[in-house]
Amino acid sequence: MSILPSLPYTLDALAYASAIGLLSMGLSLTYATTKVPNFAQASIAMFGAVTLLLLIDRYYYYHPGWSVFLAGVVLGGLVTGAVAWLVYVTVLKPLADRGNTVIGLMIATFALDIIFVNVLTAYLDEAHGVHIPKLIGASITSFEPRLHIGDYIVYGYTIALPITAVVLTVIFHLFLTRTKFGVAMRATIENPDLASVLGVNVNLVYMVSWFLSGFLAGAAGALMAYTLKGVDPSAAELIIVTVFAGSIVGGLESVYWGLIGGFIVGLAEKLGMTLLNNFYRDYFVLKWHAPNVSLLNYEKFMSLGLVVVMLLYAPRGLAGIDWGAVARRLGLRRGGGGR
Amino acid sequence: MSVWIFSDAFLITLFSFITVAISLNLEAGFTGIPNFGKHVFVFVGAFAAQGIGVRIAAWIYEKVEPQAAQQALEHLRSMVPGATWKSLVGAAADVDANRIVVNNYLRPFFVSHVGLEALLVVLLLVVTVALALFFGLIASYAALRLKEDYLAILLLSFAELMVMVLFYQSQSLNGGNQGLWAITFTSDPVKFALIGSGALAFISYLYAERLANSPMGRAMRAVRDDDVAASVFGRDIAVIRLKVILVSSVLAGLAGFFFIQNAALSTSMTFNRVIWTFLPWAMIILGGMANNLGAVVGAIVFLIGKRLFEYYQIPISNALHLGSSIVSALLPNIFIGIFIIVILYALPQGILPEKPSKTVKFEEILESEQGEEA
Repeated sequence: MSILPSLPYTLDALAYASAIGLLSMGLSLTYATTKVPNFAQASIAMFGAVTLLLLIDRYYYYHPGWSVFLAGVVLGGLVTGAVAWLVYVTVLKPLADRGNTVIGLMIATFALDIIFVNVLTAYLDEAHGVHIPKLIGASITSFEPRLHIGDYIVYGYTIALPITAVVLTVIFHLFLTRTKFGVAMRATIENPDLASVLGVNVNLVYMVSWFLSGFLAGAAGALMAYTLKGVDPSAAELIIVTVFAGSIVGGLESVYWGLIGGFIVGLAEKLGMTLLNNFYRDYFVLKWHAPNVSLLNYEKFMSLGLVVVMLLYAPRGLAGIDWGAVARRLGLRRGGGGR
Repeated sequence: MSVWIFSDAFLITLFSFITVAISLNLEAGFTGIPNFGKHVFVFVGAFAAQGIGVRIAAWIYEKVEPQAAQQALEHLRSMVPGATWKSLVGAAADVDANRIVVNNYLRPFFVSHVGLEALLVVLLLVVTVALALFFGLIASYAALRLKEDYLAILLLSFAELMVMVLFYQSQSLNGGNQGLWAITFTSDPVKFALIGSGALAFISYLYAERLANSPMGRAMRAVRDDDVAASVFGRDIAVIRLKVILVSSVLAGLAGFFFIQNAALSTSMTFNRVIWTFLPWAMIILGGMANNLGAVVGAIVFLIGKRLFEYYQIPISNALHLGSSIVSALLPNIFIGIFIIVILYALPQGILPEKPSKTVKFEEILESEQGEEA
């Protein structure tokens, strides 16, 4: 048996990694602005998944074309962005104004995580679909366009998710660099006090950052629903571990590195663990009769392992590494400052 | 109504939560270590009574009464073909067979051999302490190096992976997703659990009170408020954090050990983060951080409130026009989440705010100094 995973599996891993990247990016964004690690990031993303499920149930049941992805990303993103905005305005801002510490705010997002998971589960359990009779745990994998390339069936979401990640990142980058409000946002991340002295409405920046974080989470969550076995909000309980891992690998305060960190962690979980599992199966189980367990059940340990390695060797994440020095040491670039 | 409050099951749950809340308060309230992975430290006690305890019990049974064990095995083979003692107590291929092994063979054997039973209890308590110390060392390794938000994330991830992935997926450690029966003690295991958990709660309260009013307690608060200042004044921050985490882990592990005595069959999911991490946090926030009595009061108020809510769950869900039973089962969690946000807003200090620690009176110090001079 070959050690390398098949093409559809690789594409699925890339799609999963893109979704985790978007989620980690949103997490890093709200951490960079409001300094709250959002324990509810994955359960907020489930609003996107539920939106997509309802869209499919109402409008795309018979003819799921490519537009289902666009509708899922835009509507799921808007709904989730609104939820995240509400979270900041109605819960976190008042709590912070009352003088709660970071620990209090973390507990609040922890509580929100529990509320969201349970409310969404209850909603899906109570609501009746138009076409899908049982919404809770409904599998949506068949409601998408597919491509046939050679012997392989390529699932639509494996193409849509990476494209979504790239497009959203480019739009976000243009927003940060080409608009006045984006510049104000970067200024606020750098130094909130100075920014507010210069006339930036810091509170508005915080609200917008929560909306954007929610939008990224909702867009990722909507398409991520295809990678889940069924739409079940309690899946968020484990996804959050991966999302946090991605953010920490990226450095927690850097938005773009958050995206890259999430992508790396997602890939490590899916592709890295598959390679490891195939290697274990071919060499240890077949040759040395090691216990025949599937390492794929433990893929989440890959993310924890990456976080531990990162915290040991680069505590400030990928963002804190002096890449110029790394390049010089590898002989890729000459001279420059430093020795 | 008045019956359930003093029912054994409720009291065991209450005592276990009081212990866990006190131990979390030592970490989070006094020392400022945001332990978001408390559930795994409670779980180690359950693991000692389940995965490890049943194995040790079966090993002793096989050594002491090999003939009876052989007969029991032959009887069980009619249920599970090709069963061995190892397969029956380890990877629970069959939960029913595991139940019969634990309840029909191992328990009666140990009830009739009091000396061996006492030995086993002590042994498993030692195992619990050892496991808790091991997990505490892992946690403290992170706690000595990371900021509080990084630490909270890492401890939550670590605990979730242990409880939800490692012990839930692997059948051979603790029965995986089917669960295992815990080894229970004496002819009345509920009373054993009640006395054990009650004594533990009482001892941990007394210990925590003593600790909080000792020089160590003041050093812990100094580390929480300003660790740089504490180290400037000659306090070793690393040692203080390490000690607190180890003590709290042991208390939580013992609480889990006595709690599982009453729960018997359970999977690692019993110790999920909502019940055994979020609830203790909610209790100490409600009662008042860095106040031991507050942790106790928070646990009592919270659990009685939760039970009352569950008691009136059906009328409440009917009033809200919620149809299915799943939804009404989810309601308590939703209300707990909302409640704790309201508490954080309305009572950030909790019911019993932190008090200045008791110190020796100034006059007494003067007197003792005069005594020395004289």
